[in-house]
Amino acid sequence: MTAYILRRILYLVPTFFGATFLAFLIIQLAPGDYLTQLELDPKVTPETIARLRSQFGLDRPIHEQYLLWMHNLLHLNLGYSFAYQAPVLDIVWPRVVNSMVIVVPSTLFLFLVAIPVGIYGALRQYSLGDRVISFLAYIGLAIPNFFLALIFMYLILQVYFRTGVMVFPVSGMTSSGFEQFDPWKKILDIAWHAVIPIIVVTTSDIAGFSRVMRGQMLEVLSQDYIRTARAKGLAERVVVYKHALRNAVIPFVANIGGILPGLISGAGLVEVVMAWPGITPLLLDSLQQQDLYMVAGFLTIGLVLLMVGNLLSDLLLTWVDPRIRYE
Amino acid sequence: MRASAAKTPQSQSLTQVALRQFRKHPLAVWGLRILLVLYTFALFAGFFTPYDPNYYELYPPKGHHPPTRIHFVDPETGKLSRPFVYATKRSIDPVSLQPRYEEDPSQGKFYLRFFVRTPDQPYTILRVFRSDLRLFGVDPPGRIFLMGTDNFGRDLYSRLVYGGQVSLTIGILSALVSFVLGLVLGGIAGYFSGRPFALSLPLRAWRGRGWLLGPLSWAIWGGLALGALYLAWTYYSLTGLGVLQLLAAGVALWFAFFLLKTLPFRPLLLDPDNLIMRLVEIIAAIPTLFLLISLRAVFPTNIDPLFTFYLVVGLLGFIGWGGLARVVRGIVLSVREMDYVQAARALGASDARIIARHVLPATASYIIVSLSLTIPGFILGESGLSFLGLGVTEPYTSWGLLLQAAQQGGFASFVDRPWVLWPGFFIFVSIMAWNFVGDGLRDAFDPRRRR
Repeated sequence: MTAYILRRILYLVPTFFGATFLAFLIIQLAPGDYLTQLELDPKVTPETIARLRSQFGLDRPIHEQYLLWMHNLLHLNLGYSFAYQAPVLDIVWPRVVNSMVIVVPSTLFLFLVAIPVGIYGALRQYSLGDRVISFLAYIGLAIPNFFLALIFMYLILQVYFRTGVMVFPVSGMTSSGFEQFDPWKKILDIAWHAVIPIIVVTTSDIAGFSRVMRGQMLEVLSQDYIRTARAKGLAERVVVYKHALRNAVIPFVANIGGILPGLISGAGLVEVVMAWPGITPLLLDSLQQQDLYMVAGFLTIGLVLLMVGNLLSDLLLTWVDPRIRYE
Repeated sequence: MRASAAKTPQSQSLTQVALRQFRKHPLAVWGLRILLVLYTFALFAGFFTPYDPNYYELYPPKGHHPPTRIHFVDPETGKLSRPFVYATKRSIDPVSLQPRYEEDPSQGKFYLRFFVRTPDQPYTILRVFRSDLRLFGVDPPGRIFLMGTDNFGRDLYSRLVYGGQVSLTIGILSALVSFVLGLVLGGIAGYFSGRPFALSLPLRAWRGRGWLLGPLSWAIWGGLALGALYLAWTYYSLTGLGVLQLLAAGVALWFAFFLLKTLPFRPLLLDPDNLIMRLVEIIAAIPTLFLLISLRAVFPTNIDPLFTFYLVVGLLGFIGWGGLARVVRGIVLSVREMDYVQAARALGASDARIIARHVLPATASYIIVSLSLTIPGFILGESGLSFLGLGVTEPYTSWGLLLQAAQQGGFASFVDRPWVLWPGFFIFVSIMAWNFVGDGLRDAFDPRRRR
């Protein structure tokens, strides 16, 4: 087992360098660099640009920039953001925490809701409840996240104009005067703002997840060993939860590693639409400004988490499924 | 399940069985009907729309015009009449400074007419057939805006139908691109897994063509080794001496030494499976949205609109092939060991024949199903990219780009003008329809789900 883990980690090394270099290369391939926009400013002299460029190391060839960046990275220094004039981690971390306010609860809801719903759908196949859930799942799958957010905003604002009651805030993470709130009220305020984004993000994920869960469960329930278990007189509860469920969740355990990078990579376009100060708007801006180390640094964190997550899920698999063994 | 197949006297091909199963799936049939309608509208966009998608009036301007109300009851007589619309009068709201439109009955009634000709606004179907026949319209100066207008005063309904051309075809085209990539690379990875390619020729193989390929392969590998050494040297000269620098130098030296030891005597073997799957891993390691946007950023935003269209197709396809390649590889790996493939090989069939006649057909049903299930994902991806303004550009339009109007100009843009949300419903409906069809196909091809 130890040998297996070590070998896996060894295999991760080329992937790590490959992916970081690919990310680095893609950002660098875009025409111009961070200072190109500054060049258009008549107040900035070419000498200043040249000085800044050599200070940022942007005048060096790509491989030298990559080596320097990687050197810093191996010393746990993610680099320096051009646009914010601050270390990348200092800028990224608060934004990631903001995003987590949405992502962590929605991931929890995902598992708490989708798995029971999937099991129910499989056990009562083609019942009224199953049909309703399936239909809702189709809707959830088909509706783009940003569009769902827009619809929620529209409905809430309509209610607001009719009755003057703001059911949930539709934009941002905090109310005005947030700074003066006491800590308890601050938490409540953020939670109140997070309700709609969490619902929007969770909807589409639950839809897909519960359908896959239902399919898995149906597949396992049609296996011979389930018939055997029923034939030998086991309680239905034991058959379903001990024999079927444990086998049905195996594919999910194989993918559980994806959650780890998912936790930091934000809620996507919902953050843009609802003006949530999460990681997505920041990164989109950084990409547009070609803030090289910001983007590369963030992608690297995600990459490392993905690799660790994949390794963990492979190890978890051996625990859930004793048939899988690594020599 | 086998028994039901045995009941029918004639044997049926897989396609026939699948088709019959598909028809038993009501949602799938409905999905197919919806898609048929959507694609017909997109194909004959000019016929189904009353105006050219880029047509707008300079005076009087019609920006942010609400949907035109169609009257069925004559207000003078109170009886049912032919559907008609009123012309509208524009004024500026003194508070919000937004244009307001009121019906103006004094200009008379404009009856809705069918199969009208609009010689001033001709259109083409597939850029081949020119025509100016439109399904419906009203006489100017009356206007019919079924879903209102955008900020320029262009008819949103016409733009929506034309946008469907882009949104609906981008889904299919990107899926095809990613399928070609996934199928070829996944197929190679699976079929040649464990049968590595020789990427260099040892000295004793330098005969005939080897005289050319041998030195060439040596040169390439030598170049790689020199490159590694050079990188290690640059690293050292940039940052000074330390443990990491020694490590880098050690790796580069080991690589060079390994080549020196191996090249003359043994061919260097590389398993394409390893290489391709590593590549898939690397691409999968970068979050999709960011990969998509950073790749889009490689190309300037002010390029030819048609090129942008193909660019978006290519990017979406490039992002999507990894998962498919993985599955195809799995299928091919298992099919490769099947008795019938072994038999074909024993009979002396070539790799090309085995792949074309035995391996690829085994993946066919999976491919049809997964093609129809990935298309909605690409429609979604395109709408997201266009929504951010990074997708297709004017004069082309797509549902995502149209929906962007809801995001520009604060809440007023969709609270005062809810009709700008229409494109979102079409994204929703088309994705839902594709999902229905995909699920139906999956059930139809899956023997365990036969009904």
